[in-house]
Amino acid sequence: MTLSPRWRNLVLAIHLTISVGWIGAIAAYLSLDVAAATSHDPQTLRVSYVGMGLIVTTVIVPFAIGSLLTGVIISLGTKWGLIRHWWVTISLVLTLIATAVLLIETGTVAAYAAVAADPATSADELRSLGSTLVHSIGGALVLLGVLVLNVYKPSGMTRYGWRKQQEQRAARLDEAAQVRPSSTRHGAE
Amino acid sequence: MANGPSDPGPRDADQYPGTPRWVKVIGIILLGVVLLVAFAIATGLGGPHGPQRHGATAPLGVETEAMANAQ
Repeated sequence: MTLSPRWRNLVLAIHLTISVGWIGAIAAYLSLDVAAATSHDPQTLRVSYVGMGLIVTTVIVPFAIGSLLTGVIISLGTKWGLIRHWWVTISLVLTLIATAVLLIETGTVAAYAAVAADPATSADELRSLGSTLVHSIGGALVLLGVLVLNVYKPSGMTRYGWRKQQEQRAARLDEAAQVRPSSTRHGAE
Repeated sequence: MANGPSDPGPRDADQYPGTPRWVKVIGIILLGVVLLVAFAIATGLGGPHGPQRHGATAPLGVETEAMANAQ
């Protein structure tokens, strides 16, 4: 399945928007996560946890799934493929890991947000809620790594990609060899 | 570039050129991170993980109504 140039550009535009938006949303989340980890002020803690919950459930999770889906579509719909080039394969694996960890962590963040949103929750309870800094910093680093891979596209084919390339090259040579004798004959006439 | 002394010379075109060095470096880094995470989880340094983290016990051992609703 190969995408036409028009569709390829559309999917690529959506993929870039969503993927960069995912990183931007994590940056916004990180600012609240740092506040939640360092502040002792109950009001700051309350709004931070509620904000973290909102950002994760309404922006980060949809963007993560959208980025994964559009990435798979654009890879399968172009010459790059999913497992032909190392940079694509590694990007896919890292995105899958980041999305899996995110989906697991979403439950925790949502629970923190629910506790913080409850007016009955005391200041001590708010201060004892944990932070998700390790996961959010780790996630941001992974996504920046994927971004670098996607921009630089370092060379190197997987064994599968190399074999496919050889097969296509051989098929093209066979085609050319079949066409050449007849055209030579025409030229001789 | 001209063939230098360290140039391995012409390679057999039918042979897979091998895994690039940058892939091996990333692989080693990923393996290190995975081992680190496994160690942190196994020793409890990373704290409880997964959905159970906000499960049975609440912070300070107090089960708030909101936390119970969130489960």
